[in-house]
Amino acid sequence: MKDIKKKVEFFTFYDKTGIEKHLEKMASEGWLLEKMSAFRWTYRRIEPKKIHFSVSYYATITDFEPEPTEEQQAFNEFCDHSGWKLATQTVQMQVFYNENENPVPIETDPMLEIENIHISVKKTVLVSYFLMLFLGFIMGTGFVSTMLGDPILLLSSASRLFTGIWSILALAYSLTELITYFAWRKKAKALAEQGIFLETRGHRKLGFSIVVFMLASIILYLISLADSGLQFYMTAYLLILLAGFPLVNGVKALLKKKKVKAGTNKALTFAASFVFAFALTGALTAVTVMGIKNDAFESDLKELPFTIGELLKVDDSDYLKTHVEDNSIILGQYRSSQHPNTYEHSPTMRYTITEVKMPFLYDFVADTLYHHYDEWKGWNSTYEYVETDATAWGANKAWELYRNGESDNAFLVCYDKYILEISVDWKLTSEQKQLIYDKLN
Amino acid sequence: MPRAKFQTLTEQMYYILLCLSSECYGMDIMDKVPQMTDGRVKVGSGTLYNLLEQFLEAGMIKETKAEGRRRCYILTDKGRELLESEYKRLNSLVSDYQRLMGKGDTQ
Repeated sequence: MKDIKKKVEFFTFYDKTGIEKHLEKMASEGWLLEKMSAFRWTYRRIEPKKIHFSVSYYATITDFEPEPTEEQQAFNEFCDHSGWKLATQTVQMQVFYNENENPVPIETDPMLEIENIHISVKKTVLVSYFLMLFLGFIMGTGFVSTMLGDPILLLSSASRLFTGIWSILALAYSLTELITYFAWRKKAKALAEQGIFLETRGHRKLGFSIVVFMLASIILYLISLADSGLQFYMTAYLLILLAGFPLVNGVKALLKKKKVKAGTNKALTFAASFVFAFALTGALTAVTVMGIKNDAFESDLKELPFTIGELLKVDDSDYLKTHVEDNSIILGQYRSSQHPNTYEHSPTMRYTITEVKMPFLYDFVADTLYHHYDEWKGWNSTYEYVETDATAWGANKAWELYRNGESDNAFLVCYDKYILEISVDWKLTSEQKQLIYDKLN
Repeated sequence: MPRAKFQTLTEQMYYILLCLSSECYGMDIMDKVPQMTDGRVKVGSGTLYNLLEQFLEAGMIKETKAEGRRRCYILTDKGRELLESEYKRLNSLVSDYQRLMGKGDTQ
């Protein structure tokens, strides 16, 4: 039977009521809190019993002290005098427990307690929440405006989706935490005037859901890169980034173990963070260079799905070719173009193939592409897609683009899984349309 | 409106200062206050520790001696004045009540 239990907990920093109730429940089930870190809490097996817990916020504690300071020890002795034993502590938060039946609470003045909580919240989480809110807002608005303006570009890019989802989650989480905290503080101060302490309310489930969403989005992001050769490099990026936290924390913990003074520890830990930041930049650059050398950032398709050479039976070896590929688990987009390398009049062609990986999105994607030229209207030109014979394309539906009433030699063609937008500067023949169908299917 | 610091005292502040009218160990106040008030007022350890720090900082009390981490305090003149003004304020509340409710003779 295990005597130690480690659990990942997602309590809001100031949620003293939630933490106390949770710890009381754990003790009644035979587990006493022994150690706390940012997320992982360690419990020791005890005889199941009713134990009271109290979370105290002591703003002068820093995480760099090798041992409890004189003030901390004096505070702990005061608590010990009334039966409150220190279970554990983390930055500016101390957890005490008391086995007496009706102990006098550690905090009996709600106003003082609210102010202590506020000083600690300001010193620890408030800056992070505001920073998260700012970054989430900037990136989140970019995400939403792209979603509204060019949803297909967004849905076909795993990295855009990934950063967008993270920014929205960060925005939602920081906003919820800030609003709840300040609303609680306002109400709690009013009640404290009457000597009443208002219970805190945290967002344990929200915190848990957001972490699950974030991890899921990382996994989905890496899965979506499976075919591109980029997977290894992005995994390396993420692992290098993740290695930073234990490294910097390890420096701090080692210095604490060696009983280095708080000020020196702080300076050396900050120095280690800077060194790590430089090393990180170097490692990321090295991974990027390695990736470039191995063509990991290039499209997998070395050959275009179909070329001017194949359609017109001409030598297009000196043509300029571009090919950009975006992929996510929702959509894939392959944008290609071929231009002559000279000023001579030669045929040009550009096309985009959109692969719809989730069938329920097919109509939405087709409709969005159909309205692609809507925003071009009003520039002394009118654009209009007119339905054309789909059988010539071997497709389910096809439209031809007309500019000012004349054919623009551009088509929107809907196959079962793919949607093709193609624009050429010659009139496509039935054989060429059939060839395109053969190449795509 | 939140009250200005120490303009009026909470019950806990009042009894802590009252305990310190004579030299007293900080920690002992936790036991003295319930004794003085027949268990009606209790001061939590965290609250007491923080209030002693605040009184010390505001010059209401001073440290007289220290045995390890156990420290002894006593009221300063400023603290005595504060306690006395609070006593007068409370007295005026009582006399106002007696005057308006006509219960002065019951005391």
